[in-house]
Amino acid sequence: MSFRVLIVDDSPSMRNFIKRVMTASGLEVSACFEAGDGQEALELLDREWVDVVLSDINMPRMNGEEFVRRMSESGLTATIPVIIVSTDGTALRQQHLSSLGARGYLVKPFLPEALKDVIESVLGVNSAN
Amino acid sequence: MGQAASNVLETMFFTMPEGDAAPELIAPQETLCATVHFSGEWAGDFAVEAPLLAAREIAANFSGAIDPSEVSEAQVSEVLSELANMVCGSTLSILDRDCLFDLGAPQVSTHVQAAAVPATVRALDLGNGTAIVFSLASDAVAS
Repeated sequence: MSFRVLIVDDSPSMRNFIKRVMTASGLEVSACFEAGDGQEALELLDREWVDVVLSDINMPRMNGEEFVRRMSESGLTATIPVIIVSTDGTALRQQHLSSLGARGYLVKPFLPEALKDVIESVLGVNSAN
Repeated sequence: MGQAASNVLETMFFTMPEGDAAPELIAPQETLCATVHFSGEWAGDFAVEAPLLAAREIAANFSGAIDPSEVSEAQVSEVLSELANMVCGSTLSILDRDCLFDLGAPQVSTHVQAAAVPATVRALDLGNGTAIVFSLASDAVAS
């Protein structure tokens, strides 16, 4: 099953890393979009449809928390699952992002298998099939 | 802190520290230093400093470049910033899983601020140089 993904992170190096890891882990990415912050991501989603979003938290202009909140409030984007990718591994942060609408959470540093697992879990894909 | 640094380096930067190094044996040389300010229940500054050569190789590993010379200076700074960000976040998360903290945007410089005195220092031998991780201020409870 191939999918369209949007990576939201103010670090070009991190976006590139995630792209490479997704491909290397065997995920079938049919399209990969990138945005440097939440505002840019929302503007891109006005034009493109994606199956899943991977978002950092600390970003300029619009951070990950505000981005997740806006995604959840919009009828059009509320159905797109957002996975938070962050160095913050505390329970409070994860619970908070979940309450805002995030559907998955991946803590840095992560192994390629962990990224694959969380994406497949959020998309409801059974990798054994 | 050392545990977090080693874990981050191995997991996402494909760099295997060869063990601890003695900070006092590190000769003055051109280094790159990325500093992250953290606030919340814990507050202070955290930094990662590495020789330029080691920083470039870490950046190449992270970027997937075959030759470290393919990585630009801007990319080296950016990747070192990411490293500092990750080690800081990991360390704080390990210290207190129930706390809330915020990380500022990393600042990169070619030397440590003269007025800052490292409160906690850990040095890691990377084989081609030594990376130093340290906090620049003691932890403080936010009022």
